[in-house]
Amino acid sequence: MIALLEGAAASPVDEMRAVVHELERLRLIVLQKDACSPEGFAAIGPDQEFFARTDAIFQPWDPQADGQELCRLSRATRNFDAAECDKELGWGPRRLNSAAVEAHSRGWFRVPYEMAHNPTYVLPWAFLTPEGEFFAE
Amino acid sequence: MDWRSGSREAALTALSLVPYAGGPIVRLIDNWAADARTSRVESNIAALLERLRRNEETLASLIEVAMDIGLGEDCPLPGLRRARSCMVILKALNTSRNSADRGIRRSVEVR
Repeated sequence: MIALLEGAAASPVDEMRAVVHELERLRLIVLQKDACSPEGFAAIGPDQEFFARTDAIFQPWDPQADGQELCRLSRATRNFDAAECDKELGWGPRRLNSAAVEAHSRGWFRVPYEMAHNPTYVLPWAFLTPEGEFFAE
Repeated sequence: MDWRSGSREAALTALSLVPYAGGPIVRLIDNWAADARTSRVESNIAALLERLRRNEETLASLIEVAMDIGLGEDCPLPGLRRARSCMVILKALNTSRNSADRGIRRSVEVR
């Protein structure tokens, strides 16, 4: 990370601290704490909604539009099934997970209880909300 | 909405992710005409922001050109450098090879 900021500022380490502070405050990243590191952390990772919030900038897809597509696919049964949608759309987990998280954060999906860890999908299934049905139109 | 080929909307959306860095830039874009100045660096940035305002410039070129013309301690846009740094880190995390599968719980090392 420090190497990425070489040339961006007189002190890449100070710049990194400022950037990490800002992005953590915005709930975009999480720190992997490390007491042995001079910075207090060894790495940064994405927060829960990181990809849903940044894919529209860096990837050739838009999680909001994709989330609406998931709503459309789920309208008939009012249930979102990640594996079924992935099979239908062929997006793969990387893109589908962003879309599902976006749909959930916008209130289009409702998850009735905390789900067990799924190695492939962040949100394996959910109910479609009335708002989700509206945006499926 | 690719930040490298996107419009002013894409640039502003990207900048909105880093409000304390990007906010001053967005405000400056909207207020620049009333606050135009004459030094070389400032006029270059003014021209750049004008192109952004007319949808002719992308965020990527905005920050790259801004770095090319030398943003130092006297830069009238201190937030621009910070916005660039934020975007560099966000891009590294979003596009890292490790995140290509499931897209969660991946990381960028400090060193």
